[in-house]
Amino acid sequence: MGPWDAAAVAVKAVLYGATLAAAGGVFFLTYSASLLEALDRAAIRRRVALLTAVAMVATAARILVTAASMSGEASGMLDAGLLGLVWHGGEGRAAVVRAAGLLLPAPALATDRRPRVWANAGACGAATSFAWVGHIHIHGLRWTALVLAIHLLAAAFWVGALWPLRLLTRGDDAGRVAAVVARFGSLALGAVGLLVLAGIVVLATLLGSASELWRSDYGRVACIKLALVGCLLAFAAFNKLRLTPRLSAGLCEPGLRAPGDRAAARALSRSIGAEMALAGAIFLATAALTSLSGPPA
Amino acid sequence: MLWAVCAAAAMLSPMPAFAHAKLLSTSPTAGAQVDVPPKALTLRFDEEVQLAVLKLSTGGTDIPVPFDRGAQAAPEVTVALPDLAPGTYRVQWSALTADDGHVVKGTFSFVVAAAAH
Repeated sequence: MGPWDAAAVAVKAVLYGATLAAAGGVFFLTYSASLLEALDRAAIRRRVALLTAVAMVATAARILVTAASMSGEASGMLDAGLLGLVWHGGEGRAAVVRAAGLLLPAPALATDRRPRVWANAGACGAATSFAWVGHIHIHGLRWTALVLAIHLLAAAFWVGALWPLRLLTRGDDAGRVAAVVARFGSLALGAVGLLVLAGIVVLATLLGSASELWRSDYGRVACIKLALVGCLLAFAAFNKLRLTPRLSAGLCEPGLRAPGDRAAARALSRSIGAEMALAGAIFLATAALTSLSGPPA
Repeated sequence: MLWAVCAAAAMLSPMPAFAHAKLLSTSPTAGAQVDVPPKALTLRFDEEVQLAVLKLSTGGTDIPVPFDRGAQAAPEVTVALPDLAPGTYRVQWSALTADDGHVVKGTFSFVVAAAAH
């Protein structure tokens, strides 16, 4: 793997992370706005805007770095013919859908209004833009693209809630955190189930058989991703089954009495931080999976 | 439990498998030594591709090889070569898979032998 190939994987990982986190941030504002203080909502809106900007830059960088990776040198980024080929090869269509989707929530983010249909439609479009190009389009199996879109939407819902929840756990009102976490938790169960099931259906379609998990390079990288997802699920289960009840009951540490105690919020903050780090590793594994090697023949 | 059953069923059920385009063969063949300088270079793939980059070099010197990037995607790509002097030639190629827009690339070498006297 050359330096430009490594750069292409890194840029793609950033693109996945920023796009899904921005889209998920819009979802989060939609279902939790009524539980948040105006200051919290403003802080989340600012970060969604920042993530949107990062995703837009990464979208452009993705096309430039892909051209450099194909050329094997930096001059590929200035080769109009090569850039045109990358654009028309599918990346352009995905970039347009993603950019439009990321910009649709902008009016809602400029005010303190709860994001409505257009903002959420845009967030859905941005999150699912990755389904417009890639391995699943081989042989024109469009139903797999739909399953991948479900996987991406569920990923956006989950990842896009992690960073706002962590932001809230740093505040003073642990009781409010408990209410928001409870609302997220009630929705997350179905989303995480869809995420895992849709991911496995897509992987099974691409691999063809379970034995390819250890026989092919693609399968082995997929195993790394699955292991990371397993760790992430373990953290999520720990948060839901142990920390969330303690956050409400104030029983995170001996001697704590008041509901929604700060210590419980701090423990949750650390756990969510670990989830975010794992999510970053999953994006990196996914970027490698979708860039460096194809599914087995 | 239901998820686990569905997941296992999805993994174990037979499904068609998909792959990146693969380079099946080249002409001249990778690693070959040819006595007569080739007039053309051919890359054969297992599916349709669009050739994006083709660099030919010998002894660190690039040799321009014009080709049409806008050509219709095809499983076989042939490019005319200029007159090649005896030496070892390195070919660096890169293409986009027509179906999924993914990048495939690689390198190979061939040798043009000096003419016997």
